[in-house]
Amino acid sequence: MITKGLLFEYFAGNSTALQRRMIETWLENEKSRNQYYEWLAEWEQVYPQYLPNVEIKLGEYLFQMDESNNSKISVAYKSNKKVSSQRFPKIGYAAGIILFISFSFYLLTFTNLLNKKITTNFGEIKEITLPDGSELTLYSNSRLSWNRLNFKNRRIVQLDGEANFKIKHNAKATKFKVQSKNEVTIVVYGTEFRFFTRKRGSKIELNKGLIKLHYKEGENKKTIALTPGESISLNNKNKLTQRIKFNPLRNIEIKKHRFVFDNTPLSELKNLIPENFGLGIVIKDKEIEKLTLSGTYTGNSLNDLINSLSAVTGLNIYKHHGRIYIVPY
Amino acid sequence: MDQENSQNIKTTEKEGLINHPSSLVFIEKFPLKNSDEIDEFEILIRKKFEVDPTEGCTLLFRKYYAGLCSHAVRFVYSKEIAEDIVGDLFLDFWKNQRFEKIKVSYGAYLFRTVRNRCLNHIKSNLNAPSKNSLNDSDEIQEPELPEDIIYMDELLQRINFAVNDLPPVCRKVFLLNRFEGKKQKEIAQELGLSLRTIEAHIYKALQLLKSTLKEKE
Repeated sequence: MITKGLLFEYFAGNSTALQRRMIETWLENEKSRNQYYEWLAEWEQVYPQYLPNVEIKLGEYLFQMDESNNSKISVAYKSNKKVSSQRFPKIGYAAGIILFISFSFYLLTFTNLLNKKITTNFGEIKEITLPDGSELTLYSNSRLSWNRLNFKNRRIVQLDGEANFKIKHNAKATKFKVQSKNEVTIVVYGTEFRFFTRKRGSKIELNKGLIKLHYKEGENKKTIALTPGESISLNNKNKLTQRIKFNPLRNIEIKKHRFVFDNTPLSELKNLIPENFGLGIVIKDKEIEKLTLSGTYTGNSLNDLINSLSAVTGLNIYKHHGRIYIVPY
Repeated sequence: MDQENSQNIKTTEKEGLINHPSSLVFIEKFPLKNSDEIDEFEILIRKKFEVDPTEGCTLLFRKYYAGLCSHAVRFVYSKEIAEDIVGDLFLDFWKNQRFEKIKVSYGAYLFRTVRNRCLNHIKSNLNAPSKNSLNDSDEIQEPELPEDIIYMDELLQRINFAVNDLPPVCRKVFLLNRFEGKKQKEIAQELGLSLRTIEAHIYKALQLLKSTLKEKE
């Protein structure tokens, strides 16, 4: 009888010649060999040499499987098409057109019923749990929607605005997609990332896991794979403007505080204020625009933000007739 | 086949009970139930593979990836190479649909194959003469010989001893370079040694390992 204890000692190199002989005899049986490897796996779990990052590597593996899967599907599709076009050419087209018309009609009428929509007002933040258990924070002046019926099978959401995602792996290992109006799509399996997508451009910051980014620049379809700690910015024409490493820990801060500045010029407020609070902004002096800000600011309400900003910068910042004015004292 | 085997095991278990009362303790401590649990997991995964291979691969990856890397690193002493070997193994498992053909348990297949791949890696890397019988590692269909398993375990011990027996500085340099994947320049700076010395240490370590592997051929 070979026991687990005996084998563990053997793996560790603490066995006698006689014990090794005993193990060799035992291994002649196929069932013992399966058992041997099972215990070897367990031994490696109990006494590991090091701990690899399984989740990230699993993400890569899922992408690889997905890629080879896609090439298989496209081949199958081509051969199918050939057969059907030979046998029923005209019927096929007619049926296709009718189907297309009825389908688009169906889509138009039922989009509103089918889609779950969540929006945030200026200055509002919402914590949302999706049907698959994924969590996200939807920031000010943003819209998120997904298909109620189909979400279980195809995890796809549409985002316009800014949100922080914490996507769960699910048992079936289905992809999670975030689509935006800018024709930028993010594909993930299980990750944490922040996605900003508004008219002026898109920005993605990846905290954990792996992301694939698909976007259209002009007529060209492009794909970028992001690794943790990478940040990517696209302008309003989907041209890649920045690809840098950032400290992923910073994004934890972002969850607590609304605004994080990192050598950010004041001119950036011209985007941030209208996007987040729906107000116009006037900066009276070109030199002021060049001043940079660093740090995090609690700015859940506009007044908080104005107060901290003027305290830090020493500038006169005030609200007047629905606009924010920044002027030197 | 399976039924016969399980009967064999039951009879030996009974004999063990009768002949050696002490084995009773072992049976209680490490109940044979364990192998039934393995079977349950195997059956579950086999069913998953029939429906959705991706899900099957995901389950196997979750269960075995870390262990396989940890095992591979004992052979190749580099996290990066170990993870490459294990990653390739899983990709091959998926692309060539190995899961359809293997007759042994999934764990047995994965660990056996990873060992063979590691061995091939060391051999080609150290320019040591290769043992032909282990070359077609992935197409394994024939049952594995007990002496081959033992050979692998002994090889592992020899590598382990060889690395442990390296002079302390030489070992440190070797581990920083191979296991941590640090560049020779970085190590030179970290330890305050010249680049020449670092190169010499790594060369020495590799020579010693090479001779360890040749001994048994």
